[in-house]
Amino acid sequence: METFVKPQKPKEFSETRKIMLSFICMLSALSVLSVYTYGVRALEIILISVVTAVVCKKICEEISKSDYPHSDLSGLATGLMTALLFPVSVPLYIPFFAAVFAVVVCMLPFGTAKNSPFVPAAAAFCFAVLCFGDKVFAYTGNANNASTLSLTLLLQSGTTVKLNSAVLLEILTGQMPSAIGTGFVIMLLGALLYILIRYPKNAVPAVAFLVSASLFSIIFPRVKTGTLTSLTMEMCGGAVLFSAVFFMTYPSVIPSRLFSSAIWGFVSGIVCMAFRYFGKTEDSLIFGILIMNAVAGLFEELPLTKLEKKKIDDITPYEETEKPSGVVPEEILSEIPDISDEEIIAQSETAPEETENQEQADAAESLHTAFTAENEITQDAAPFDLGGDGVEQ
Amino acid sequence: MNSKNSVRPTERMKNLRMIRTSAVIRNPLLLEAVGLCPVVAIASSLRAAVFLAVVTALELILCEVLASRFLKKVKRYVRVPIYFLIGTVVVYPIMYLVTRFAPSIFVEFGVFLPLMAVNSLLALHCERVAVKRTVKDSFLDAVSVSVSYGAVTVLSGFLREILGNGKISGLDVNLPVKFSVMLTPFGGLLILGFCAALLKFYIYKKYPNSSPDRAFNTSEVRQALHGSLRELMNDDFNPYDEGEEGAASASSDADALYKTRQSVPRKPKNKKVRPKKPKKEKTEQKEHKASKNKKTAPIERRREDVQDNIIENPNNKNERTYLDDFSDMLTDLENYKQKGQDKTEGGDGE
Amino acid sequence: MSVLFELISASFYVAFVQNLVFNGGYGISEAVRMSAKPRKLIPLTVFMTYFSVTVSAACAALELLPKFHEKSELFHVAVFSAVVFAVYILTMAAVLIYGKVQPKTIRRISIAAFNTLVMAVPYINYRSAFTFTESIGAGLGAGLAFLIAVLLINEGLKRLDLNESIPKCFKGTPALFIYTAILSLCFMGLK
Repeated sequence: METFVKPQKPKEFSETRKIMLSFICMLSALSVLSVYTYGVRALEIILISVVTAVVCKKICEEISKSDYPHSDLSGLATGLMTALLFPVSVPLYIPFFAAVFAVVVCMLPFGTAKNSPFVPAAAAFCFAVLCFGDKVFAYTGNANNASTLSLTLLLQSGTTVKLNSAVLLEILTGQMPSAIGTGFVIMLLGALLYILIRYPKNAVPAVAFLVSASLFSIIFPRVKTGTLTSLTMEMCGGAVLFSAVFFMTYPSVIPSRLFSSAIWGFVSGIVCMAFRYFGKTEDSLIFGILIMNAVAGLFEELPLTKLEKKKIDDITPYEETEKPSGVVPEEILSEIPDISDEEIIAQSETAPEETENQEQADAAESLHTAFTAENEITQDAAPFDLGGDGVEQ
Repeated sequence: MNSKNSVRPTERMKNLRMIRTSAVIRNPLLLEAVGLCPVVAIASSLRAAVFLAVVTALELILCEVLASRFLKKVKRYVRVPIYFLIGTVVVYPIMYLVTRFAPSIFVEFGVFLPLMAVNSLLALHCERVAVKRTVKDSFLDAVSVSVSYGAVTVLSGFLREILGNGKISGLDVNLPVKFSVMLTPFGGLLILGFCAALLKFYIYKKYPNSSPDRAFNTSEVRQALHGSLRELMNDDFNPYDEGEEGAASASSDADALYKTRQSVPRKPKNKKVRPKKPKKEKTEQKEHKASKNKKTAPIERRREDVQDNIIENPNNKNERTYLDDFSDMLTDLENYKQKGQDKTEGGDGE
Repeated sequence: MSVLFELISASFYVAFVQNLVFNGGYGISEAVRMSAKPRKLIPLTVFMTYFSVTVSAACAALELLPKFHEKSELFHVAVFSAVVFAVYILTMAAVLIYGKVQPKTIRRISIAAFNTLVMAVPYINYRSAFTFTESIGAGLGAGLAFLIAVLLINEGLKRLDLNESIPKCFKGTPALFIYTAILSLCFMGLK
């Protein structure tokens, strides 16, 4: 029947690939900047992570005998994301093992990137933090700034910075000690703008996340030298912006409804900031990201808004002329010959060419398929799936 | 001689099948998720894992044999604390000996040493196997489950110690990298997950006709957390259910338990037997009407099901339209049949 | 006020900071199995909370006796087990005397009483030297920790059940264990 929607898999796969491609473009730009700022060592970290992730993804696809002929580029994106979360002084085995963890533990058991319940790079970073502790937060200076005190360390100790134009410029251009990809504020804001234009639906939770995180930092400042200083240090320090741009927009974890994703993003900001304030490490924000990934499904069950209800009412699966009325018109009934059930079934089992009357054969065949289709339909309970509430994406 | 030979292989096959099912196809740790706590929490070294495996084996064998021998007629709510008592009887002397002669083990195990007395594996297998089968079968089941549980525990302990500490049973292996997080419950669950995947792969290869997915029943997972209070009170609760196979036995257990609550046996009542009234002969028209009612009733019920579905899932328009189509199609078919039959009767009448 | 604060802080600590199920592994078997039966988990959680609070309170009350407090750890262990047993017997006696309880409720009580989570709470209270109020808070927190764990695992199980692209070997408990492991990773961020 034409009204049934075809299975979504190929379309979902191409959409995931498109989003991953956008991520790769943005992450590549960040990688170029990090190599420029931190030197060849940054390139080594990125290459190790990316190559490991891609190779592991390939092996996992072979093991799981994936149906998709082309990769959805999630391995490459994950490798880049993982690498950019580490400082330049990190030993090379740490991004290697993190990339292996991201693919083998967070992607292989759950199938495709579209169905992964957690952001693989976030889980890999948390794994690295718990295994290797201080090495993951051992930020070093760069050619332009020899200091080793990151903004997150200053916030944890309650130390403030004098926010003048020079310091602000250093913060915005990624000259403060940080991970190789999380400090370039202007670049990250540009990436967020790109996602807002290209994938506005995915950008909603990111914006909501930043709004709630900002409010949290204003209401509960860790430094006492003014709202602006607290806001700047909290938002520009650590992985807040990076998480907002890449983790809060990851396609497999955000709720499908716009309203749900906005609320989810808002709550994520509060939870992540709470983790940051009360966590045991310098920047435990990413642990909060994982928790919110786990509870994203709960936000799908929020009540519908007026707009969503209106949208559902506007969807009409049938035109009025196509909808069956429940009563067979007499014109059609009169054409159908009077045959008993057994004769119909017996006729349908013989080839249509053997029957004398072609019309009888056609009627028999249609009724036979109708009787047998009853069983087929009950076995296929849901031949289509449009997502959580049936609203088209 | 021939009869003995024909009996023995059958019994041997039955025992082998039982061992295979208990140990492999329905592995308690990897496929049924039973007895996870000690493995996940304390089996982070080879020594601890071996100790845990030995203690669990002793507990399980003793528990199942005693339950099979003495506890079959005891009510279930009395049996469960008895399993705890049996576990305590096994664990506490071991605890005393460990405290005296190996205090490092006592420190290593900490809180979990006494907690081994309440391993959920004991209650599950005693309720599922021991109280329903012979002592010999229970002993075989206990031994097979202990071996499989112990094997997984030791493997998990070995891997966690190597990856987490870089040691095997205290001996340094000089690994360049150590993952300290593997010593936490995270590491235990991770290793169990991959071991379970490997076991499933093996089962699908070796025993393609078996269904290891049945060991962990997820048919109810999408139920709502809340429901009507009446439904909640009427839902049966059997945490030791065996999935599809055990559904029948679980319901019979529930009935049996309910019956055993009635401690005073009721005397049979002398019921008065009323003479049966002769059935009235129905005319062909009445039979036809009755059959018509029967045929329309399922469709009406189906329509009610559709309505219920709409009430339960008001947002899921697609399912409603699909079921609506189906019921409309059935209505059309039935109407066509009725009209066809009416025409033939009218023709016959003439 | 300070009593209320102690109660809330102890329960918060046990439920979130040191989640007994994810960080300690206590009751994880029951949590994983009950996550597949969402309709039945709330009554079980209520009973488990009741037992953990009652046992905590009874053991904490015994700890207040100076002679009891000075005894060895092995003695404490034996007494705590006896307390659990006694609380179960008293509860069952009350339930059976009341008489209008169905067999399914009785089954829930026996499962809720004898599990590692309920048994672990008095030991943890003793080792952490919790006060009487904090011990009751820990009992409440244990129930809350179990509820949080089961709800999170149930959410994951629903998602895994709908996921058709999981490799065949990972369907069921393998993917579920790995999912639970990552949840456990999350809670370690607050430790």
